[in-house]
Amino acid sequence: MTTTRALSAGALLLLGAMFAPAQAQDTSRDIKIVLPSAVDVVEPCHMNSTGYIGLVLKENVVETLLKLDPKTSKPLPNLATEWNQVNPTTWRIKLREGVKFHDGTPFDADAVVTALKRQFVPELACRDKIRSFGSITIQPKAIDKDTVEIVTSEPMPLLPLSLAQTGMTAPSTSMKEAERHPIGTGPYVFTSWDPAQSLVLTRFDGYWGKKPEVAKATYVWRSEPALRASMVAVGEADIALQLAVQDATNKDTDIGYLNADTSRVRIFMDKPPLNDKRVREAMNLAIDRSAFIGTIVSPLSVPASQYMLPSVNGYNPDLKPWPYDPEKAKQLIEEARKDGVPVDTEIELYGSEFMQANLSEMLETLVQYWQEVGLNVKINMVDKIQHSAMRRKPYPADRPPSMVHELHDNTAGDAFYTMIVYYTSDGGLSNISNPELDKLLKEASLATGEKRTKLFQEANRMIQQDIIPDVMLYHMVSYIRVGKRVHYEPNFTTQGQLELSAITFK
Amino acid sequence: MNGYVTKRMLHSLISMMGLIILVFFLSRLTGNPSDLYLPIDTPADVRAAFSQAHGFDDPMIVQFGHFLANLVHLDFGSSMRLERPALNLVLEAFPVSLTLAVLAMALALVIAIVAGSLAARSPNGVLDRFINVISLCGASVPNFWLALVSVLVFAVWMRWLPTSGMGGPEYWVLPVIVLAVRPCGLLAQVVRGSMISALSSAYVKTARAKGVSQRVIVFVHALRNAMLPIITVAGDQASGMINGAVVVEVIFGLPGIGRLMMESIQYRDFAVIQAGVILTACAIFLLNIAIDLAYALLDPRIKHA
Repeated sequence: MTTTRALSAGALLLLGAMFAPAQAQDTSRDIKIVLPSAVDVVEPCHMNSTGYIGLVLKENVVETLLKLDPKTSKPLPNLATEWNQVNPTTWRIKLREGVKFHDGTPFDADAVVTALKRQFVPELACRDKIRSFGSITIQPKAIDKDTVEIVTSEPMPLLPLSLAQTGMTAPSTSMKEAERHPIGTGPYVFTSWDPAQSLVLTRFDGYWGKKPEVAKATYVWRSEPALRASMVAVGEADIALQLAVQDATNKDTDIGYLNADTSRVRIFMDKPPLNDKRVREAMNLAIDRSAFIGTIVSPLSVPASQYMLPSVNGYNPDLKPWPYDPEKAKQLIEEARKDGVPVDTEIELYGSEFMQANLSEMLETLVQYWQEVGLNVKINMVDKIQHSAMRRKPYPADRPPSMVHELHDNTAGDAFYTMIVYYTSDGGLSNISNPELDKLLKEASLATGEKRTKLFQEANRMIQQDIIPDVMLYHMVSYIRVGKRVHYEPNFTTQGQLELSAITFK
Repeated sequence: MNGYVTKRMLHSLISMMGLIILVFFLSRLTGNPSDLYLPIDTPADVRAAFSQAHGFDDPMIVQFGHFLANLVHLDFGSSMRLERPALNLVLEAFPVSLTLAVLAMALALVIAIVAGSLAARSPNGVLDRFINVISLCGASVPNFWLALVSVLVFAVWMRWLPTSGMGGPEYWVLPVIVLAVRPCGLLAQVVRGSMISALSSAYVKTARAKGVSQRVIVFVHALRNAMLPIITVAGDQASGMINGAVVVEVIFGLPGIGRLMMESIQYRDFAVIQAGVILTACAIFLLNIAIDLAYALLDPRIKHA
């Protein structure tokens, strides 16, 4: 009997311990951030191009020479204090003094040269280098302890913006293989990483800048948005990213914000009826963009007129989204039909669910609108690999008249990063071959200051009004849940960069 | 017995070779994974260099030859996504899935045997109908829905348990229960049917005539004879769990084989897919051997030559 009682008491104690209220977040300066997917790679030279590497590392562990102002997209000083273009292919950068890497190595011109050269090591196949420098190569050189000169193989007026994307890693960083323990100059030290479960950063006491409030940040990942929201609701986490719109129900904690993504349908203009401008214009006029807002897309989404956010240099504020005018759309289609354009030909619209929430519903509604004005569009949902193959050159030669839904983010701050790839004849993702536009974009790419802005704005006008290569849809919205202990204001860079120093305690 | 195990191993080896060939070729027919690893605007030469570095530009049969040659040395290659040996990743994930499967299966079996036996004692009685309805609900409920609702109730509303993740015993409670519900419902139905049949057999009537207690009749005499179909169904359910309880692992953030395989398939991480398939196939082979041995133990009439 005694044994039975002891066992019962033990079992009760165990149950009591198990069912005690789950441990809530404590009152320390440690926080937990829950991400939608695993941080499975931490190589800093992929940080602007792959998963959540940048969100964890950028400006927390690894800093850049310059930093973009999220409001204006202009470069600001960071590890560099001054920069100037000596001639079209040469830039001179003055470095901040008194900065040290987490391993104690001084941050100087030699370290910067090593970090820049690392971006171009073939074995590392740095994805940021592809994005920021393309085919351009650079020759960095230390002029003195605090000055670096960078010579580019072609004129590169946007080098400051590229440097705002390039992480300065310690000289000890591997030059042969992907780094698994990145060392930088940032306010946080990369402390531990279990790719299956979590990643931890702790505050760097030797940081050159202002001491941030967060002492330790633990990143975990859960793919289910409702679960991420629940973790913040019960105090297991302080910030949850990428909530689904239906889970963002708490006005006190849930914040919607314009992310960098713009959504559109790209029209391949090589085959009839899509090679007729009237048909493409009709496709734009046939859609009531306001009808999607608050139903299929977030109530905070903004109808787009250009493939970039208004904060990007070169955005044309005079352009408005196409109005909803189904009568004019029908008239244009009829005119095209009378001129012998085969407007009844079936058009394939490719999409992939991974691109955005509620995409099937969005595409089905678009198709309905187009059917109402007399067009015959069929949806073809494909997986990510097939979708990418549809979007990039070389395009499949045997495809029917086609369109593809896609998203694009320009977080680098200048229209160049959108226009060259998407709108020039040689652009890897372009559906346009227009010598006049090519000339304009080449001139804009080499120009600086106000002239550059005006030229890109004119290019945006020409694209929207004269060529109509797409059906521009929305500037997209993300939702973040911020717990009651902390304060954080997201902005369009948050998906790729979440600075822990911007998090404060209430 | 040794002859039996050797024969089963040979059969399994043939099945595994077929499986390896299928997985190798089918997974590669889904397209070039460079699109998943490189930015969409990557120049063609960089894309080609990526394919070359990972051997995707070789003819498929050459790639298969390299794979088999390495497999002989138990070298499954490296994960493209995680840049680590594929076998290590699978071996690290496997214990999580195994723990989850063992706990969930043990819970499901205990509850199903007790509930099914009680229901079989008085077929069509109140208790039987109640257990029948509950077990049918359990067998039909989708894991995905149950997992989210259980988090909402026990973690968010009642605050009894953590929502997800790894840690102390409390972190296992919800995943194990959620994973156990479906097999438990199914097994309770099987136990009930099997026990009704056993309880109406001649040897039970004899035992009753001899005055043996109802508890001993149900749980000793009848249950042992009713166990064969239960083991068959339980084995099938356990195989599925060892394969990875994908939904439960993904929702509760458990780093098991199911989650690893799902992510590897999404990223066409061929080395990990292959290592995962081979390891789980081995585990299922061992499980089948154990089930066969259990048959022999429960029913001495079954002999493995």
